[in-house]
Amino acid sequence: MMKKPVLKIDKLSKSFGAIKANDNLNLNLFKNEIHALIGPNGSGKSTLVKQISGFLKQDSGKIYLEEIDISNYSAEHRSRMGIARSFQISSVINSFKVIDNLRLSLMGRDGGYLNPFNNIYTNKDYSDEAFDLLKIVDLTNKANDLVSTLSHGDKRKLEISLALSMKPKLLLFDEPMAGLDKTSSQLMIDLFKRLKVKVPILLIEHDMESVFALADRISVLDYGSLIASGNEKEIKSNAKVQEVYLGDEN
Amino acid sequence: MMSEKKLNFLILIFLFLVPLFSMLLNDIYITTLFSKIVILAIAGIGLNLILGYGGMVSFGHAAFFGLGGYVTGILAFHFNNYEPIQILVFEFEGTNQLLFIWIFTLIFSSILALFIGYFSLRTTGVYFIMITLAFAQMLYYFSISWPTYGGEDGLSLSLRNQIPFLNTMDPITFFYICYVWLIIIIILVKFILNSPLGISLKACKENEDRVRSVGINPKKVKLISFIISGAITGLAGSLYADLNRFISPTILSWQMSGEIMILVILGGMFRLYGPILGAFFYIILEQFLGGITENWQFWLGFIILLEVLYAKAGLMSFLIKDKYDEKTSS
Repeated sequence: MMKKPVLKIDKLSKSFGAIKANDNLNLNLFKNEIHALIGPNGSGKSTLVKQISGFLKQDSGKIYLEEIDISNYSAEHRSRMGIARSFQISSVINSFKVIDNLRLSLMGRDGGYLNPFNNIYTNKDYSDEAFDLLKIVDLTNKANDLVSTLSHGDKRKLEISLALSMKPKLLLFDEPMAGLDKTSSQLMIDLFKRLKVKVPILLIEHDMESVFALADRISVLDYGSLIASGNEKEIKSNAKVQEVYLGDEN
Repeated sequence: MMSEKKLNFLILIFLFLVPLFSMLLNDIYITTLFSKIVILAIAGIGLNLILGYGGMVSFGHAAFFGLGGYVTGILAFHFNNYEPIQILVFEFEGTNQLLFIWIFTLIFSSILALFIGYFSLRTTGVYFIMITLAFAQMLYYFSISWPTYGGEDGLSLSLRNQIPFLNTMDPITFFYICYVWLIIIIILVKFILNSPLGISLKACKENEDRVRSVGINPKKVKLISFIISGAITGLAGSLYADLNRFISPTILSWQMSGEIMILVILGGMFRLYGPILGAFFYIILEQFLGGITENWQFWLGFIILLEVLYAKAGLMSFLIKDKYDEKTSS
């Protein structure tokens, strides 16, 4: 029996004026896998993530989450359905404490965010769950710190914990290693390896060392089109990929 | 220098004792003046919910303040004239009972806020300022051209509206009515700020993308907050109409919106009690400078200029030791 994908992208296209950011793109993400998306700057990787997460409307094509057509759903609806993402540039609430960022996302996940009465700060269930999530990314000691005082690496970790707080069905990580030092990158790699068993990950990353260490499958985009898809060996040996992206690196 | 909690407590105690000072100084005008301060503070707290905590610069809150005033005035006008209010084929009796008037005010202000908010919140920044201003100005010009209720000359109420067993014409009684409303509004807004709605609103102010990515619809959050804000400001307008026993299109004008905004900025946005302090200083400056010079607004402008340049966190920040940092959340 054929495996059913958690995420299916079907002939997705998006243009900005004359520029085709995504051109008739097909892509799948299956359970227990990390699918890396690589390509030069401007190849349409982030545009694709924005369309999957609902932050950008596609011109044509469909997006399916567990066989449900979510192409016309809003970003917040998709988030509640289990599409969790991190942003290319850390996007957290800087004026909040670390734990309050998590309280916000837990509340968003459960709905009821229009309730004007329940005290969110004294909700023990949320506090406990928030600490559990911070434990996963090793941030419990900074739970009560203001996010604005966190280092870049810690903000990245917080973003990961925010994504996990949504009880996701899939994770979209847009350059999560960007700006991280070697040790932090390695921590992320270990974390993603542990995560993929529970949640499949679509990973956009420029750090090829991390990509090759993590990805079960790699797809390469160039000028909005998919030019190759396969495992590490296949990608490394693909002449076109060598030409447009990897160059002499390998 | 003291803690914010202590200052807040002192503000409430001071206000509670105002009628006593008024009696000791044998000047009942002080109580009336402070009723005005309390009412403007309520309007300011309403605006501050969306301005300070939600980052929505509404320059049209006079619409709600004025609507509250007109609902109060119109209901009382029809009660006093024994004329029913006619809306299409329906007829309604007027009333002079404040409990009903407040309910009607809250309902009508909420509906107006829903309408204005629905359209205004499709825009942001300067466009949001302009569209809220435009809505308020529409109501302003409508009220001018509505002769039934006095048009440009406004509408006088012979007596204040009533509450059973209370003499609302007594300045001290009326002051305490306003004071109780202030306490209720403070408690309500405090609840909201600690609630899911409040935390979502604060988050929307900073980063809507993050808010959407955790399943929250920012438009809904902002609209509900806008409605609550409008209802609170409408209630203040109702009290203001009863305080003065007079309403005119002036309370719907952009100057009124500006006045509410100024007292919020003066006292300190992002702080619950900021508008109370702002209203206090605004009215005291108006009285004090107004006694010295006709051009008191010039000097008020000068003071606000200094504050914006050197104390963005408002007057509250001068009096408390935990200096406001916009990066403080809960």
